[in-house]
Amino acid sequence: MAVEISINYTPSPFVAFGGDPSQNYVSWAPSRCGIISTDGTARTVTLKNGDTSQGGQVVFMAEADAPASNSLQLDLSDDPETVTEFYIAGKFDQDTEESFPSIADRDASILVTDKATSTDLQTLPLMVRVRKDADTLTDEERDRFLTAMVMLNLRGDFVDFQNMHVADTSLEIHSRSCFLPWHRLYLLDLERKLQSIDPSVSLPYWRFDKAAPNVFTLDFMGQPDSAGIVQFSSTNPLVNWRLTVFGEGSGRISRVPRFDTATEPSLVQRDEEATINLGTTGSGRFERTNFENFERMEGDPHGAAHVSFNGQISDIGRAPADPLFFMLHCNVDRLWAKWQWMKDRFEPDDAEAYYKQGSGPVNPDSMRSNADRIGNFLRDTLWPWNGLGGDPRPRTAPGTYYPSSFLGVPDRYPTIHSAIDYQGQLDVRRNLGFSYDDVPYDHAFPMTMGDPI
Amino acid sequence: MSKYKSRLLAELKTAQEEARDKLAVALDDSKTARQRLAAFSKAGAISDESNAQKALAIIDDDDAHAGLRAAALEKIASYYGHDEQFLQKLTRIATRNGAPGELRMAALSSLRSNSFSSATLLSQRPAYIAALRALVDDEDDDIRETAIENLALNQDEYVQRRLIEGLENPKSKLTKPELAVKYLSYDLHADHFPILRKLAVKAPNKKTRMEALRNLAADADSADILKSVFADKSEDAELRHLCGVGLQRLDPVNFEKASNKILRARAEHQELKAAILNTKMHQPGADMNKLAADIKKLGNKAKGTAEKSRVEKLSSFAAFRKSG
Repeated sequence: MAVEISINYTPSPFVAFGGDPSQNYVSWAPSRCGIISTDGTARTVTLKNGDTSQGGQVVFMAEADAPASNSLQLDLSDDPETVTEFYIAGKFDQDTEESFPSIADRDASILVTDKATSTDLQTLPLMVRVRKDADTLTDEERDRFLTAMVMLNLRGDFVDFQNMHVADTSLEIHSRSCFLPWHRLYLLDLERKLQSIDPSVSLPYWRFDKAAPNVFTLDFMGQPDSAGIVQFSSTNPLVNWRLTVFGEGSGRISRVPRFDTATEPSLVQRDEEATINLGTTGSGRFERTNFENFERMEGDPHGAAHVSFNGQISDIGRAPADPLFFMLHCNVDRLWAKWQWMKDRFEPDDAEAYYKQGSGPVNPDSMRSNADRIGNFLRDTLWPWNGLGGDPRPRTAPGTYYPSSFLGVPDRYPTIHSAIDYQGQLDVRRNLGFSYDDVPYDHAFPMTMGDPI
Repeated sequence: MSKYKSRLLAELKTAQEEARDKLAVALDDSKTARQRLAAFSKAGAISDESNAQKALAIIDDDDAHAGLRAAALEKIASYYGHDEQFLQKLTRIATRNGAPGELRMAALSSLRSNSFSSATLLSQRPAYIAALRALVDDEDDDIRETAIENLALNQDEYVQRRLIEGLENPKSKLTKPELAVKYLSYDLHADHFPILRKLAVKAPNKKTRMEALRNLAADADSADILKSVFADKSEDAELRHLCGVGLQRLDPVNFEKASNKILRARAEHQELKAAILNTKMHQPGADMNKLAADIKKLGNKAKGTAEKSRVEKLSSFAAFRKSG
């Protein structure tokens, strides 16, 4: 091979060049890449999508904040030690409103062509991996997600996610501002562990403000019988799902909807528009489009979506026992992400983006209210990944430190700060590696016709 | 600004204006109840004090349409979610005899919804639990079942005792027997395994027996019961599979022996075989070569689209596991 490409390339710490296939996954945000000429020949190459007729597609940028385009020309040195850097991102054209996420593992590719000879030098497969509406998944996407969930469950790693979200830990992670950032990192923790089983998997979201007839089927989230026990088809991986609620028996998921899952949305009062409008529909202090107003979505639609059912999902201490919980929360996070994008709330140090600035108090006398307790401030490390069990944090810290990724963020002891600019919109180094299918990344002109970063 | 963002911002503005107009109609007592109810359904949650006060007045008006009162309550539940007096009011409404069922259910749902976001509600937990206990004999089915399940999820000893009494003596039952078994299963320490063992042999209906057997998988002393049903060809295939899953948990060695025997038997139910293979393939360390061979055998005998499709799905999963 005359050239080699490394996606999600990091010069320090050193990663063996030539491309680690496990890193060939990108979202809408720019991923740093490197290319070298391996045969001692200096050449000019053109990079473009290998196949634009199907599957995922990417855009190319010379720098993270440079204009995005469908192809990129680069001059490569004859020295194999000299890396030419560039960036790629999943293609989301905000003017045509067309986006090109993958629908299968590595169905996208970068084609490298020698400009002088028009010879194709390399085709590198990759995946444009983004979180999608659960109701629109292909059968393969759905089954891979369910399989990874069940395998995580059966190999014993899921119990940590159950134990992080129980009655005893509720006030650490609910009823205060860290609710959104904490759950964002919680979902990403789970997603990374699912990806360690199947790297093509991303968490789907359940749009609880719309009917989702493809979600509540025997082949996906199941349907309740007359006792409210969720039934699955015999080949649905979830037929093997085990409850891991401490002190609960071996029963199956119980979930009785209080709405018609085939034709109706759940019982939320705020739909997507009303949620994103939070802060612009009220008067006085509720008029401002800041996080302090937006976080009221914790009650509705979040809480209202939970109690649109009877069963474990309606109980704060058991809800993760039902895999639907993660799809519900993925939608909660998507709504925050969309609000952030539409209102430009990505700067962690901006009180409009997160108003509990600074660090939490260390003096117990200052921790009387839940909102003033440590763990709720921008610079605080988050339980349980900080390993801090015991007063004023919850008693135990399951799951220990944060799973690493080729992206290097968040830190193994993540803070709320690390959750805000999740796509690296203001600083590409903050990119956590996930995107939502309908929430783009604002590239520089001309890809988005938007304001430069 | 991109066309996409411009469009979405315009849609937000339109939605905001529509919600404001609908709310005005919903709170306007010169309109008919039907007009107001229709408007409430499109109004979204209330986010300001003036409108919240108007909604409170509707809730308190005993002469107002019940659906209107329930809708008004739902619209302000989140706005007042941290208000102690409002939460106490919800508890009073939920337990008030004679109040419309629709309104009481809305109050109960709002309390549950706020349990996800309101630290204030935590301080009122004893009163909340007492209110739920008062509702377990309620005449309204939805309210009664919601209260029983919430107490069971909270591992409430009172409701557990009442549920066991109902299973032992159907005349004192709180709910359907299969639901009682399910609710008891929320607590490993509900002292319900003796009655479940009885129900595994003789139950008032198939569903109850199924739930009893499913939940016996948490009882080490019940492995023999599960093993026996799993191997019994006269039993229902679905029932046998759930016993197999339970046995795998309690006694993996015997599960292996019994499941292999079923897979080898010619006269066994094809869907049961498919379900067993599905279960075995998801186990960490599963012998995928052996299982792939078993799937192939199943495929050779598959008849009809449904059976062939099941085998195809199992084959593709086996290929995925082998490649991984």
